[in-house]
Amino acid sequence: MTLLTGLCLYGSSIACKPAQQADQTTLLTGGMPPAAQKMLAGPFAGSAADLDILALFSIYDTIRQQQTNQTDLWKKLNERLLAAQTLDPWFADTYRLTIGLTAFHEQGASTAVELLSRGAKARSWDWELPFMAGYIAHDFLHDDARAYALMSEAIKRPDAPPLAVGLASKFLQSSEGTEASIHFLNYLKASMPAQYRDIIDARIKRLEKKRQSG
Amino acid sequence: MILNNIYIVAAFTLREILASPAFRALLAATALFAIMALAVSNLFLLETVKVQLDFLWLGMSLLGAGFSLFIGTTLMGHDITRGTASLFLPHMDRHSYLLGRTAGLTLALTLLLALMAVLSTATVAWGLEHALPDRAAGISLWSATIMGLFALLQSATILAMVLFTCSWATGVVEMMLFSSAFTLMAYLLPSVMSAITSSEVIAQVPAWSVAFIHTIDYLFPDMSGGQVALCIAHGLTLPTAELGWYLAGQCGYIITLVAAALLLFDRRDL
Repeated sequence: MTLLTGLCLYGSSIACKPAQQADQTTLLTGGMPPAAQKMLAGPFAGSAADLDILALFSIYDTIRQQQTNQTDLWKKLNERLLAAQTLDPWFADTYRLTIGLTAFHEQGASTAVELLSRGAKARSWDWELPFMAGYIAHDFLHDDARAYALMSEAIKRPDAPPLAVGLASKFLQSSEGTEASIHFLNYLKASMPAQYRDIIDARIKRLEKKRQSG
Repeated sequence: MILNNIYIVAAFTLREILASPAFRALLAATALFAIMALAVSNLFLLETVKVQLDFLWLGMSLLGAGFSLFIGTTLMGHDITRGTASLFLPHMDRHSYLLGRTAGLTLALTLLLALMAVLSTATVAWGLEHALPDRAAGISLWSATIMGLFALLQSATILAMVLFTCSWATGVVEMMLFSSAFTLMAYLLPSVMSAITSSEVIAQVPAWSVAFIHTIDYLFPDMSGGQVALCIAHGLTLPTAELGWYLAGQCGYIITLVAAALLLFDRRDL
């Protein structure tokens, strides 16, 4: 009987408090700093990272529904991504969401490059992370020196697409000039398998033509 | 004679545990954890099998810890405070009793985690069938079983801590309180140590306090099996040397703690 009364009181308190909507949003989107999460997660870092990603879905849903005060929510979303990465640096979903949600948002490009660069160190076999980080650094941050460093890291990895070679050369050209770009491509050609050399040769020829004409 | 006594106590312990509602609840919870792993993994985009393995590891570890802390402590506590076992068992020395109880509890724990490993393997099999290509590389049907073995080793360490605590503590509440506190510390210390010994923190902390924390850390087992579980969940190669040290450390800790429990239990007043 006491339990039933308690449950009725609790139920009515929830039903009669529409003003608590804001508190509920805070509860769903708030979180501890990454270092504290890592300490408290102990041997369950993987599950804690998964829960951070689930919380991120909730934050993104709130962003879509809420038209005002989005800056704060985007900040929380970035914090969740950072926490998930600190807990489990190999988790591919964290980076896919970084690319899909944060990278193309004006307040998130810098965080995205930072996250993807760190992810590239952890997932040392994955060419996609330095490739995407390099692309975002060029397109959103206009930092071609960093874009070149990341893209040249991507092309050293297995199964990296030939497109990465062209982009790396382009970014080096815009930050350091045509001469440096040709030098880089010649260096790259020597260390690449034969099937990649045609694309590199074509790029070198284009740059040399440009140097002679310009 | 001693072996016979150990066998009698172990068989009695196993029968007692199998008949207890708490153990049946833990057996039922294995299915709940498997369903939870399946349900949660469906919300993710790419590495769904990794998410399944994360939650299965969580389930295995919680079940192992719950078994040791609640069933192990209650069983030992009732024997020591109320003399429950002495009503049903023949007269024997304390060594045979404690070793028999240890064997029975270990068998029941193995049974619980074996069931969890079977359900986990079925969950992973389903996951691998529906996973995106290249997003479950390195993960096999054996991954869940290997994880189960690691969970068994960590749970056996907690059981050893429970037996050690029960050998000197008085009353079920005291036994449960100390065992829970030790388990919590053993689980959290590796990550706390890792945070404290980071270069930014160590520059701010006095040297004596770092040495003090290191000393406490050496008193507890290395429960960093979570890092091993994370490698298994991602299908990464396990570092052989670190794994060897981890296994040797865990086994050494279990043997030392059970030996200390036997020595203390011999000398205590009952």
